[in-house]
Amino acid sequence: MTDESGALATPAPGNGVGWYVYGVIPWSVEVPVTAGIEEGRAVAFIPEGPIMAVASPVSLAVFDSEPLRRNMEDLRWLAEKVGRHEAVVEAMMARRPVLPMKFCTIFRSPDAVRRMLREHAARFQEALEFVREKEEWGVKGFAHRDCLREAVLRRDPELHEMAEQLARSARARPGSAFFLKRRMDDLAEQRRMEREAELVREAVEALRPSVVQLAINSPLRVRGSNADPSASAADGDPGEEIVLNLACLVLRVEVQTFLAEVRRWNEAGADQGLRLVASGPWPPYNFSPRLGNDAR
Amino acid sequence: MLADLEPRVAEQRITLLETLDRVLNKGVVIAGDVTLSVAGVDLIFVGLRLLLSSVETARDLRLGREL
Repeated sequence: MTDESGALATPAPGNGVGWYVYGVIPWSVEVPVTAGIEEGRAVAFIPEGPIMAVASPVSLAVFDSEPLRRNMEDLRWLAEKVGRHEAVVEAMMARRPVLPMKFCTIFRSPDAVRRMLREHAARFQEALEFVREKEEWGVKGFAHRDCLREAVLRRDPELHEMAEQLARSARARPGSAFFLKRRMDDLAEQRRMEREAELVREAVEALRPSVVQLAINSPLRVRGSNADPSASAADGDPGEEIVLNLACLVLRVEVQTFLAEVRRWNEAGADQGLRLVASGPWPPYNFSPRLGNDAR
Repeated sequence: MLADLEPRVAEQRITLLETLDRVLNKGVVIAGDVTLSVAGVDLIFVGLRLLLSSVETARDLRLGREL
């Protein structure tokens, strides 16, 4: 299984095999046997000093740049391969820290993998130590727009005043009531957005004490993309909208406290219009280093 | 064919997106000439997300399901 000399012998040039790396773990003799991203090619381990790469050979007919680009357009193929990548990383994560690699990080040979491990050895070790005994959890915030709007209308004195004015002028001066109504709607929308932003900040602050490190990502839009944040508001679900997408690195011993905090927020603020949903544990994708010159 | 990708409930759907977002967009990024192919992943994901979500939204509307 980890017979490096045999199993990991560099394939002869031209036989069309690359080395797909799933992640980096501390050197260990006890490693699970796991299926790789390609059928029939199990995961192997490429050690280099105190760390090792979790890898498997892949066919370049499938994973070289050109065929990969084509294959990734096939959603079913992509979803299956992403699932397999994730399964390998999760199999590692149970008993040791793991740094997951980005999808389709592929090298030409085990030697190239070893060179990469050597080159970034210090960063890998430092990052492995950092994520040790910690889990990544996702927290998404769902804002209920109508709920937020109602709360704002109830509480905001200016809006209250406008509503009363509107009630009066609706009878006396229907024309000006129309414009007043429009001004009121605009103000209510503005206040709703302010309140939403405030709740998002409060939610983040509520979770911060039980979290080692926190990454605020752009919300995963159910419609549209992050490049076009207006898309979801314009044509999304009329009820809830994702307005917060957090990645939290949590000490394993603190996970229950952290999840209790999420529950507490939901119980205390059920009528406030921001509901939190936690997911995890994830491998520390959001807390893994970006290495090299042009890494983003 | 896309039916296989549709999770059954809204929160599973979000988790699928979360998995894709993490595996495709996060994790250790190695730059330099040692890697064979990592380019274009972000771009494809945006397209995927659009496609996935429009399929699901269409289904939700049909089922009258809330997010």
